[in-house]
Amino acid sequence: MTPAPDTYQPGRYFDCGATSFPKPEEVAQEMSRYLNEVGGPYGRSFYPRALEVAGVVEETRSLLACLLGTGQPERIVFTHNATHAVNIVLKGLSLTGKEVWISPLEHNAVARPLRRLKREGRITVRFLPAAADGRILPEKLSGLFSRRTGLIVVNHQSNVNGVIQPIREIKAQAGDIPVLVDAAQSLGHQTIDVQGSGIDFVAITGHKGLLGPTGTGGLYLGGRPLSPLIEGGTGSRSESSAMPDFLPDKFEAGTPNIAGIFGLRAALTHRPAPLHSRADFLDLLQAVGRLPGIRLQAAQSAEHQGELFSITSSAMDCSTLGLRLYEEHGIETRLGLHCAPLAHHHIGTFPQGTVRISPSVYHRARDFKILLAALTAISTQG
Amino acid sequence: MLLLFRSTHDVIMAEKTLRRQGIPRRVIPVPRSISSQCGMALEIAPEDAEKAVELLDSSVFPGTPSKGEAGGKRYHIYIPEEDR
Repeated sequence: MTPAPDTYQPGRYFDCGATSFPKPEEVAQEMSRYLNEVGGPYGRSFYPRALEVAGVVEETRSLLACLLGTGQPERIVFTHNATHAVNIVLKGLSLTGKEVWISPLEHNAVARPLRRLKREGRITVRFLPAAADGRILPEKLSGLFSRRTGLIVVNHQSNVNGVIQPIREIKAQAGDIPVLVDAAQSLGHQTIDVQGSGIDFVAITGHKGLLGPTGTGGLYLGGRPLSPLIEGGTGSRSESSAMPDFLPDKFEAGTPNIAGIFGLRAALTHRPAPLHSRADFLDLLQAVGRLPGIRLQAAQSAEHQGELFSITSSAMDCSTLGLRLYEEHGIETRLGLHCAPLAHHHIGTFPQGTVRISPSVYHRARDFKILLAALTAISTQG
Repeated sequence: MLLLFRSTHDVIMAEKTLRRQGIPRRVIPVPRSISSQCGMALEIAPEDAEKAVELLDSSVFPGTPSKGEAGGKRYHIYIPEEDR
């Protein structure tokens, strides 16, 4: 953990669920170093510049593998983002005639590809049993799955109310049925152990909790047969017009986002220690929940709460609340449905949506006090 | 001696392993006479070849590499049979 320099202040930016800010300063430095000094391709040439690039890309792969608890870095393939990773799985698995079970808190990254597969008559979609906050009830999964079940998809940490799903218990109930975990919001905050849990696929993004640049992501691939989403040059088996069938090349056609991967490696190796405690965050959550006219959308239990939550106001719609937070107090939040209409249907905030508060690891307790004071002022003024 | 691999990932794994053990290696383009595999191959001096091969065989790429000789140089290809 790297101590955060005082200059790195997120201030009133509470939209880290969309993309985290600030980043460790080394992220921009390393991206700049690649663009201005190192240059060169990945996996296409032999000279020292190309070797350095390949070394950084592979080190980043190994760091991600370590983060996910696998000793097989080749099982991590780079993607543009978590949505790309999810699409590789949903469109690469053989799901025709199968049912896909999903949590009620899925993002459109999952819901939209599944809708397409459903409209094409290839799959049926079913919802996993869940509590009012959307947390899956593992004890109710017994007997739900059959030979027709092709996949289970779980959003590890909701991007609407921050609920953390019991992915290990879900996989234990799923047995041999593959489980895809969408870890877009959770990685960097929550632990995932693919080896210990047996989870088959994990979709990740670099620019949220990992504090890396946008345009970086990845997919952990267990041993399930999967077709590539895109095909093209890999630098390997170049004599063949068929894609290589080995990892990671099978899923990495085309030149990757090398500048982004330099930045992601810097983020992974210069991760700051959080400047607020878990207690500071939970105190904020509790205080917001007590404000007059403010309704908190969060996990029912603090134990299952990730570091973001939503609010609605009985006095104004979420657009007005968000606008007033910004114009009167300079606080930046995300408004609306957060690309997760299913989640809003489940928690009862569709179609109006919510104001989402998603802090940075760089926020201090004093920043939470500023946010709380702003919310207090607006909720009491009406 | 030349060491060839199926992917950039494997080349870097091997290069890192040899570097950590202080075994000198030179990164060269894959000779076209041997393979169309990815851009990089590792060249090891004759006196270090045995140690390098033993290290890779025992730790990074268990199994039997494909062996051959081209242009007066011995080579090992660390590629599973089905991918050659």
